[in-house]
Amino acid sequence: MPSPAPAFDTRFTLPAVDDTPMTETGVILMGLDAERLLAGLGMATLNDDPALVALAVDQLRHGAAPPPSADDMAAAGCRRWQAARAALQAAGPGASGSASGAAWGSASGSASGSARQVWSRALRVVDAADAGDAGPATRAYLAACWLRHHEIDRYVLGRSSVTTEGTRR
Amino acid sequence: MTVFLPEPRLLDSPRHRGWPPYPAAGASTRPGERPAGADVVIVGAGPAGLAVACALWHLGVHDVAVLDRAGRPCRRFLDRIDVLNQRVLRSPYQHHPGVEGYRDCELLDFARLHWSRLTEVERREIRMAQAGHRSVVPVDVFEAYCRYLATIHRVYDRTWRATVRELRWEPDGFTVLADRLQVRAAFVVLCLGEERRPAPVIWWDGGLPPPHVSYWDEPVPAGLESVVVVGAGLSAAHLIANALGAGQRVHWVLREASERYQCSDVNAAFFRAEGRARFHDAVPWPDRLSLMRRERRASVMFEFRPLLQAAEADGRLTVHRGRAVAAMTAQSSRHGGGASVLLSDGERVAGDHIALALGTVPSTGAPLLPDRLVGARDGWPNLDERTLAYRRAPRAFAVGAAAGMVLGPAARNIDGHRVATARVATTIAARLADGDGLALAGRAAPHRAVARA
Repeated sequence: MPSPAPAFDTRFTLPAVDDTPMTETGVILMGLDAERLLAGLGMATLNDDPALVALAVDQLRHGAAPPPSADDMAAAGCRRWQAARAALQAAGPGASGSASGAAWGSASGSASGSARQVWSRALRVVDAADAGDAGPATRAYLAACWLRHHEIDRYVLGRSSVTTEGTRR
Repeated sequence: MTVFLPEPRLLDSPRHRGWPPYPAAGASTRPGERPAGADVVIVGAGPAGLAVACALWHLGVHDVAVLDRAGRPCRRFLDRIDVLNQRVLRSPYQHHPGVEGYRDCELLDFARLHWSRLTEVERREIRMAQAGHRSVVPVDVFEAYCRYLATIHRVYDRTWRATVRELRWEPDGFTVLADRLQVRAAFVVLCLGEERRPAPVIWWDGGLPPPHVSYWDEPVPAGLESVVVVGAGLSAAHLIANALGAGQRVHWVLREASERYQCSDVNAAFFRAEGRARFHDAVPWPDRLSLMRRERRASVMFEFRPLLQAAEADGRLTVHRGRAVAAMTAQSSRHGGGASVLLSDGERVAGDHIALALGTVPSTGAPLLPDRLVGARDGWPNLDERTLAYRRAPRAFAVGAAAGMVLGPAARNIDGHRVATARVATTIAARLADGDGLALAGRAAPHRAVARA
């Protein structure tokens, strides 16, 4: 009599080694703070490689590079984010008729929490949005910002209110 | 039970692949003038010196001069590695000279950010590291990371080529005397690394080695038919692997009873607090000394085992286990040229060349500091375990192998450098904040201005 199938399976595999560089970088970007992401978004027009942009931002934050500063780049990133924000909202989950709305979750409506799957869904939102001229680095940083858009919006709002306050004085 | 078999191509990581130039790598703001004074002078720009410079940067100590005999961060470290054709470090991704607690890009993430430049084998090692398994780091990745660290912490701008000859002790600091310059410093951090262990005098009456005999950090001539390797550690394994790869016959004189294959350089417990605690001040010195002798033993990365065992089985490699060496001589051309090792039982082992890999000796700080300030006991300097300052010269500090009797055998490893660096850098930063720097007279104003810009 055949033994019953085990009720569990302890096998697991590590993430693929043939993932694209964009995916590997994306998973790292997902863990960065809002200021770094926006500085990266600000720098993304200067370099096509999102990984090199991440390292360049690190360098700016150490004050080891000639101007512009990390803060200048974050300001540029805020402007880029504000320019793309509405288009991302329109293409994101819940948007009626959006190309990526269905791509956000599975057909059954549930969404995996796997970092790599979340990343590729965010990239699809960016690709579906009319977010202006976006090279690979801009795509990556917009995707990372989109994943945390509440936090990014708060940061941008806080920064603009500080600027407005300063201007009034 | 699953037996782990290492990836056979692991040891063949490519070297000198194209890494991207980091944006400000060439944008030196170095004044060009030699520094006359600095808050801190770091002697030695190896991985330990680099770690200290990076940590001081984050603590706001930017008036630092790094004096290095090769004049570039990690140059001697990498030159030694390249002479051996070593392609991977034995250290895992978690061990690197970056700074913890400041969210510097760490070595593992740095490698992942260069995913497209890595081989499949290297990517798999990264996955192993992410899963908490032991992994090894390609030398190429490590070099690029060190270059990146040196760039973002402006170490290139503050490194001068100089061989330091003497530290002259003064009440408020030191005058550092080097072959090319002289610098006053409130604090000095000695990151001197290790020197090769010389052969016993009886092997050839001291002095330079006989013809056709060289040490592990010197190139082995090309075009040989046979090589004799003396030693039991990783450098010996690289010399053997290189010779086998070149189609040479190899004799391995292993003075130990048998080979010792091991993942890391020292038992992994010594990378953790409980291992370091075994070298706490409260532990009697003889116990620490005996533990150090037991644990700081030569061993070979276990990835070499399949290669060496196969070569021994098919006769390309002859291993002389447990054999003491009595003498070493060059052979006349009448006897075939090359050189030979006379073993203590009378057997003579000859080859076209003899390569010695006898290990290393930690640099204690002498003779840069006078013996009375080093206060060495059994070859180890007298250091304060909380700060790693020399007890008799508390403005001088040691990071690296010299801190072995305070931090344990892992002090010589990259991870040990980080532990030491944290203690040294915070001590110096706190003392400078308390106004314990140099008096301003004699300081080099341009250097300070640029370093602090």
